[in-house]
Amino acid sequence: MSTNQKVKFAVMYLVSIAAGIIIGIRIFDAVAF
Amino acid sequence: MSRGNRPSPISVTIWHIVLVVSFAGVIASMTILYRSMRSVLAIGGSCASGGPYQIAVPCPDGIGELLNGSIWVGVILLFLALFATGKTGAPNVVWLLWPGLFISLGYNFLDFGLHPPDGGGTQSGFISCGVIFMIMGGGPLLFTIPLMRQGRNGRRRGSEVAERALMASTRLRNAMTPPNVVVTAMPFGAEMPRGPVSERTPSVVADLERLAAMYRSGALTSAEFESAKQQLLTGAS
Repeated sequence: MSTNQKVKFAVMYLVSIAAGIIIGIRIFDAVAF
Repeated sequence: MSRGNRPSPISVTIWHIVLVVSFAGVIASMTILYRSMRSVLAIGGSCASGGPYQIAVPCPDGIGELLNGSIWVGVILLFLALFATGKTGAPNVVWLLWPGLFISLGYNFLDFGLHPPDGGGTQSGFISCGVIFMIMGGGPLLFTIPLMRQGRNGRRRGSEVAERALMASTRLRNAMTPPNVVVTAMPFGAEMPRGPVSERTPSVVADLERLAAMYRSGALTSAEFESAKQQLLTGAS
């Protein structure tokens, strides 16, 4: 796996994690409060 | 068809999107689980809602639905993320979600065990749960990372050994074949070179040296040596 591919997948996973945390907080705040 | 079974770029792009969305969904489910657990721990660690019984501690609004929903949706999206990982060839980091889940929930137990919301003493029940969760999450992390490093180094060593074995077998075959036939080590799947032998075997000098060595060692008579040399030069010219 080339360095470009590693960087691409690392960015993909980091974006997923950041988006997941934000979405999770939004859903919780919308439903529980 | 020249492209064989290679997936189309559109298919690859779609699977990348599926991976990002499903992985984000798993993280969102874990976040909801984490916050739902904190809201339950904040009211003593247990609650109930619905049913015909008198409820001592009712659950906060929506917590029951959030807890159940986040677990089931998270598990389904986890399998989808695993499938998409295989389709895209992405590094499989999905196993890290196990330590992530247990360490984050273990932190919740330890936090509320050491700092109870009612301001009382430490809650040993929460602390012991927190320690167990930390071990369940951190144990695989501590054991798996060294194994992954060993596996990567092992694969690198394995490819070096395979390369050396290939070169050794090529040298052996060259030694056992007639001098004007040279076996060249080639990677699997490479196309065989075309054209006369002389154009693709620059090692005629090496063959002559090997022939001379056999003559010096007495393996060949003078006549055999001359004949073989002429044959080699004729075949190589």
